[in-house]
Amino acid sequence: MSLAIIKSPQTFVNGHLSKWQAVHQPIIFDVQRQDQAVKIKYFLKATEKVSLVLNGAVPSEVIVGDSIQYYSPSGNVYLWTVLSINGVNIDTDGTITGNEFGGFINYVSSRKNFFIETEVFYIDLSSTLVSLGTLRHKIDSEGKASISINKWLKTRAKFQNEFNYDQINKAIDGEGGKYSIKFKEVFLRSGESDEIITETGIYYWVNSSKQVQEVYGTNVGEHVPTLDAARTEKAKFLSVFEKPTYFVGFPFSLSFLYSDNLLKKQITREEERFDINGVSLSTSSDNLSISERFYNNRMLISQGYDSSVKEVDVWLESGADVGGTVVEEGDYTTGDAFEPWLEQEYPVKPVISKR
Amino acid sequence: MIVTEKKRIKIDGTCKTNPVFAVWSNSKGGRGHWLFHKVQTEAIQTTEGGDFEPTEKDLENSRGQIIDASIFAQPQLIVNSSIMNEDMDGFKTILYSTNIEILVNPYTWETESPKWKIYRPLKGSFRVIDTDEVRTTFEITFNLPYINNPSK
Repeated sequence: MSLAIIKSPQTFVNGHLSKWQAVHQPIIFDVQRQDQAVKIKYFLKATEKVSLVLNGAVPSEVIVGDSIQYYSPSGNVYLWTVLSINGVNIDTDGTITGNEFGGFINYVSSRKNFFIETEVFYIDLSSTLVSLGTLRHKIDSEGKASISINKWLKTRAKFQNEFNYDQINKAIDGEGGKYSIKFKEVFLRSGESDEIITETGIYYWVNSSKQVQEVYGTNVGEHVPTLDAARTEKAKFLSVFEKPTYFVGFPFSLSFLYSDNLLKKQITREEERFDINGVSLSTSSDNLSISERFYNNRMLISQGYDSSVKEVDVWLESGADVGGTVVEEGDYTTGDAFEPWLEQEYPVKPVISKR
Repeated sequence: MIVTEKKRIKIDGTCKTNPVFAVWSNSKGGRGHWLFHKVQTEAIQTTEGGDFEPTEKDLENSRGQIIDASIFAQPQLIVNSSIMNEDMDGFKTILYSTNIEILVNPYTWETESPKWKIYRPLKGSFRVIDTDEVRTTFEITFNLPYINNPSK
């Protein structure tokens, strides 16, 4: 076992995951040190002491007399002394009665000077990981730490308009982005420095702020498209206008989150045009560029409308499956998602950019 | 399958005189767009950057007593627009956007790509809507990039 991520910056939108957060508010990972899983804790009547059966062998550096912390599945924390060790069994001086399945222990004596080092990686448009630096945290009495990383990501936010209004949709680096985290548990084991690394999958941020009482808190789930026919409140564009105005002859774009949920599907921009009386005049459907996925996108409307067109409805639809190489970044199990970058970046230390 | 809302966009194809086209970053991570036109007022605000008074030794040939060391010159542009009340929720976000850019080449941007200049709205209190009217006339004063002025 290693560090457990007990809460990550994500939410569910009608059952579909949204890993997209507003970068101008805290983006928090709650983690907990969990050195070794416990199979069962039981009370031995003969000795009137607690014994533990672990999910694996007790590490060799643990000796009789060491202090261990037991975290029960019901949330209680106990500090006990090791009385004897035998394979996967530890006898302790604990005296609580009853048996309990599960929980975990932390080796207090044999893993000294414990702290968590968090490295935040920004993932640029070419899928290269760029280290934004590291943070160090001590854990609290429950083995937990709350790690906020948005200040690091904010350094990558860009405000100036960098869209040239020359392609149907374009990912703009800095209007949003991808990131990932590497947690390193650092401690002394038998007097030697040791570390255990835990990596997260990919998460996403948007150069935005949420408001008081808005749904999903600091997650921007209301703007994250999902392949969900039953979703009644479809993902919103990132516009503050109820009905934006396109001034003919001037630049215009709608922003939307080209979310990871749309993986493997061709997305189309749909339009329906109306005259001054609200009568439908024409429709169109155009493919979006899938190479701009996973970012905050700027999207053009068709433009070049006939003068009788006074209003246009614009929306996105998912269409046919797209095959080929698109799967490479999509399945966010930690190992798979990291492979393409790990080969490039490690063991070479990533470039440290400005904070 | 529909994956987003249907967003209705109004098309304004009327001819505009003296166009001042603004794009600003909004709190949602997107952009607002607005075209100011017709009448704008250019202004300049100057503030003292310090002066000095040299010891007068030759009063007969003196050209004056106080000399300005520097003057801060802030060009301003005052724009007006008649905003439909249904647009005001979106339009008012320009007042607190930290990035407003004005299109510098409104007549050539499609051939040479758009060029932008940062304008900063004057801060203050604003009356944003008259509920008994369909439209509200709105005035914004922008601070333009200041003039790089030689100083002594």
